[in-house]
Amino acid sequence: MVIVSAAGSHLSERSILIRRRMPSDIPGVLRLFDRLLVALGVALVLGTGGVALLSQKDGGGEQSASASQVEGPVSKEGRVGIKAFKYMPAALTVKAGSKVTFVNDDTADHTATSTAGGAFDTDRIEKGKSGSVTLRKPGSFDYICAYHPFMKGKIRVVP
Amino acid sequence: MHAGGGDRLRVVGALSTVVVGAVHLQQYADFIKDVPTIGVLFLLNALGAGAVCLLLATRARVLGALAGVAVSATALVSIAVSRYVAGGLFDYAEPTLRGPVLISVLAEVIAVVSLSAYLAGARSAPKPGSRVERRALPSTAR
Repeated sequence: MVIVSAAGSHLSERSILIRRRMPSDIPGVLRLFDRLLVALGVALVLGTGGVALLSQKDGGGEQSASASQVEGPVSKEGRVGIKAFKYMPAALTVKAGSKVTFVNDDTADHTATSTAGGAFDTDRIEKGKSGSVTLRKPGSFDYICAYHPFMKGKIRVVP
Repeated sequence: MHAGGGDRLRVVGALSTVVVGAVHLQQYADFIKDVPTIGVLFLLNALGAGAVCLLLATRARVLGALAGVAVSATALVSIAVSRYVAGGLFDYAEPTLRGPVLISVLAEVIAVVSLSAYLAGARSAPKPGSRVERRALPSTAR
């Protein structure tokens, strides 16, 4: 393509080279992309703030329930739900020989693993599945999730 | 590096960073908010990704690319620690490669590679008015 300039060909060649470096010469698609990027960046920043505020209102970010919080009546069979990285109930009392089932309704895999010398361990319970243990020996057993040790629970086994 | 190539790398890096931030934000809202420390880190990742996008759209693109590499590389190291190191990261382990994890890891790898290449190109490109660039100009244009 020939560019004709009143100042002659020397100037036109130089002006082409200079104009290539100027921001105003960025193709329209890139300018559009930069605007889109600004919009996405602002959306991410505002979205992060919004989600954080909503989570605060919902009580998100709280620690898992303390093992001493809830302790139901003594039962022959036990059921512990797992949701939002919490065992519910966090504390359970069952009779010796009881079967305790852990139902994982969470979005991640979990375990229920005794902290006291391997008293019981469900191994990995995939999300949407359950795992059971039978507790024959009376005593008080603290347990955690092997993947997420901040999750704590307690089972008391009575004769 | 050719300006067009640099812009392509910036576009790919920026879009990958958006995906990284969006996945972290979605996972935070879904359940990670319940996980101590890790929840805050996910929020910081999403916030960082937003800032990177803004920087990559402005004249501070090199800074944006540097920050983008830092955000994605940190996320990659974190997921590796939570998956392969005993005890996980801040007591959080990721034993299964869930869909969002895979998407995020893929986006992080693309972001690190493309933005690193962009930075390498920006470093090797002659500065405006430098001797190298003047040499590149035709003699008639000097």
